[in-house]
Amino acid sequence: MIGLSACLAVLGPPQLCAQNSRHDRENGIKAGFIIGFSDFMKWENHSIDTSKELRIGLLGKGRLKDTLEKAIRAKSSHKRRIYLESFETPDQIDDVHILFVFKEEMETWEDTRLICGKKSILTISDIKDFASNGGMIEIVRVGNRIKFVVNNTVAKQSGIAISSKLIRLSHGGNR
Amino acid sequence: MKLAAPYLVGILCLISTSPLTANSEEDFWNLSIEQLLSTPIISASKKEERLFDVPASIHLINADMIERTGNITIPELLKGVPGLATARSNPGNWSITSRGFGGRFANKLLVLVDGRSIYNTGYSGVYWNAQNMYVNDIERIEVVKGPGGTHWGANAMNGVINIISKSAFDTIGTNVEVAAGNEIEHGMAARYGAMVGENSALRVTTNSIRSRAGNDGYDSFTEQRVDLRWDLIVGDDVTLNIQSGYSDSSVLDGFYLPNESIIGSSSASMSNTRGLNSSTTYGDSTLESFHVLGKWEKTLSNGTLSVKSFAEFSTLDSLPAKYDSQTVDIELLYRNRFHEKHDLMIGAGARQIKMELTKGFHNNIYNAFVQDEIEVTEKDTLAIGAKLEYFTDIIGAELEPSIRYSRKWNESQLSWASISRAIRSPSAGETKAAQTLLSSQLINTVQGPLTLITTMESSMEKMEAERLTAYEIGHRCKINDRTMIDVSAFYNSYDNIITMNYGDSVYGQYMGMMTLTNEYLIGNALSPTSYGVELSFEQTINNAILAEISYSYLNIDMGDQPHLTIDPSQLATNYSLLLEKNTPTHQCSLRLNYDISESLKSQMAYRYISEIDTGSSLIPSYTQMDMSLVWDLNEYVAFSLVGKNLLEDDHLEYDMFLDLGTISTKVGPSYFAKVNVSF
Repeated sequence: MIGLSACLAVLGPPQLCAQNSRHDRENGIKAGFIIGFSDFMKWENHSIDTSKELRIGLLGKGRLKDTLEKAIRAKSSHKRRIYLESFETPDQIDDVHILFVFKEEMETWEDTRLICGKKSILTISDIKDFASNGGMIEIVRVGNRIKFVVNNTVAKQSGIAISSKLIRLSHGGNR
Repeated sequence: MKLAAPYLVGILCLISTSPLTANSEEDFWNLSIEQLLSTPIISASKKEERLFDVPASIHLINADMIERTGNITIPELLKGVPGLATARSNPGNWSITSRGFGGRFANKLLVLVDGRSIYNTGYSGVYWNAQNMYVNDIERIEVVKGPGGTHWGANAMNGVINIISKSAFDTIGTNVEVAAGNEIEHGMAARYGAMVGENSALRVTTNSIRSRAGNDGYDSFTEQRVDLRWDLIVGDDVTLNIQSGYSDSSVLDGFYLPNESIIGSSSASMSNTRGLNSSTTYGDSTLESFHVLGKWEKTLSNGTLSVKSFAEFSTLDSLPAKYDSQTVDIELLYRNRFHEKHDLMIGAGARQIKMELTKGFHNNIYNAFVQDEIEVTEKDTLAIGAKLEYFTDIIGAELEPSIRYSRKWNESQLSWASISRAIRSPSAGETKAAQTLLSSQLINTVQGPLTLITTMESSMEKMEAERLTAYEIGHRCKINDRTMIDVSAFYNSYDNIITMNYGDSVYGQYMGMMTLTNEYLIGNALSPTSYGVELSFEQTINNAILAEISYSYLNIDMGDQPHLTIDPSQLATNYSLLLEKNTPTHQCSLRLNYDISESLKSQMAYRYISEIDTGSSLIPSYTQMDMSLVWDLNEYVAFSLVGKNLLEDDHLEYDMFLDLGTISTKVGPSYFAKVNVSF
């Protein structure tokens, strides 16, 4: 114990971890989810095959965009290209497979929901109660973890088949 | 399916300490959804590290593998680990060891549950029949083959197994499981997990397992247990974990009590007595235990600080011994990357063990440890560390240093080498055994009726620690995204290995009766060496099929002469041959995971185990196969069908005659069905 105290004295007192670290980890996990979800989906009405090309859209602005850009650079390959597009308003949304909705865009959510329903776009957000308000996947923080809630009914209505495995992995479905 | 789950935050992180920055956001993008779900936002863990980068002979069992095998006991889960010698004596008693020296009380393998040692210091080893936590509460099992004394202290001599349970944040909801089969009378578990406020989660699990008594009648076991886990986060950088558990287990043991054929005191005559002249007695061995554990971790700007403490209270009531024991332990660990090329870890701890045996056994252990991982070049890393332990009442001070070098040639090639020293501290049974009457019976001999008395005692006033110097090398190679090879080799040089030897046989008289007293002497006696190779090959054949092939070779030489701390004249015979030969020389395994459909997955596991010939018993080589089928009926319900040991009618896997005379029973084909419901 004396030796330990001496080392602590030499090395300096413990410092608080920058809060950024936590947010970076949260965003890293969210980005991993957003890209990884595509492996558990079948877009029945979408013209672009996700095994060759995956198109992700962002509605609004947030730090997650930077993380996703880095992730996409890392994950794109000659076998599958991943594209990221940003939209400021719902009417700009084009034929993406996945749309992540930032908090500030909840005011226009009804318009977004209708557009995404018609275009068979998987909607994801970390807005509270997103799934119960017609969103397809809500990313939630559960204590020290990031989990997700699936609204399979809405997804089915939009022609998106979500694998039962992903549903089992969703929050509350842990075996 | 993925090649080897990539991240570890348990014991393996302590073997090597690559930069904390290695755990950057980029790393998350290579994780599966399952792995992302169990990734903490606040990483107060000491270290997260890719499995591929760990410079040691390691194997990981993750939650997906656990689910796929359908197993409901931990020893059955360990059966598939390449290089680990697992053999069943009966459904409750197992010999599980790494790199030799097996036995019911395989004493050179340290086993931890969330950092809490379940290694029993009464007899040295693990009571596997009393460790069956609900397997669906396990996040992963990390198996390290080779010494880990520098970090984990005494008894991490030939390997370390760390069972890591799921965070309570990962088990929200209700889960119920029921299993039954021809050997498992029932396996029943129920778990309830809930959030308690925004930042904490609580889980309570009960588990009950009962196996049927086989034809031999000796082999039933039961365990009932309750486990509780509470996880919470405080602010942005502190995590707290509190656990508690109560277990009540019972195993029906049979014991051979030797009789007249011991006259002449040779191991050969012992072998002849087996089943012929020896008598058998059997009864329940019960172990009741309660533990509580708390762990506080704080993430710092350049590292972590953690304090962990646990207390365990247990009562053993078995045929050969009874005792009450209590263990209290506290550990402090501080990690600081104080320089871009240095990752320093320092720690200190204390443990108090009290046992009420024939003679009281009290042992206080104090330790301090330091390790620096030095980034020599971009590719080369050197980790140097040592642990100093002081055992107040038995062996005094012992130093366990290690030096480990690794070179990462590129993203797909890693070579490593290490030299380590590890020790095993003598158990209470070994140090305090004295004139323990094991049996007393009347026998008929040509000389007339004799009362047989068997004594076992420590041969010295002070016993020394068993010591090991281990030399290891290894190479890991990812040939492509679908193929990985892992090979390691080792040479172990031991000293002061404790063994039990037959001493004198003395005729005498007691209360007018003719008696024959046979002595067993326990002491440091042997200096064996061993070497071996462990090889595993993993191939993802397509998105649905993964194959893993493994082979391990082990050679142990117990040496020619026993150590002179025991009077050689007393060594009519010794156990060296039995220690040398009680683990198979060759082990091969093939594991095939096949995802038949998205909701139907299967596993076939073949294994070949070479013969075990201890001189007093012969276990023939055998090939066995286990199969499992898991069907996810929907998001709430899953069915499993499991078949085990399907290739032969009956076979012995291990003869535990020497482990206090425990009777081993044959292992036959078994099957069980299981249903799991989550809501």
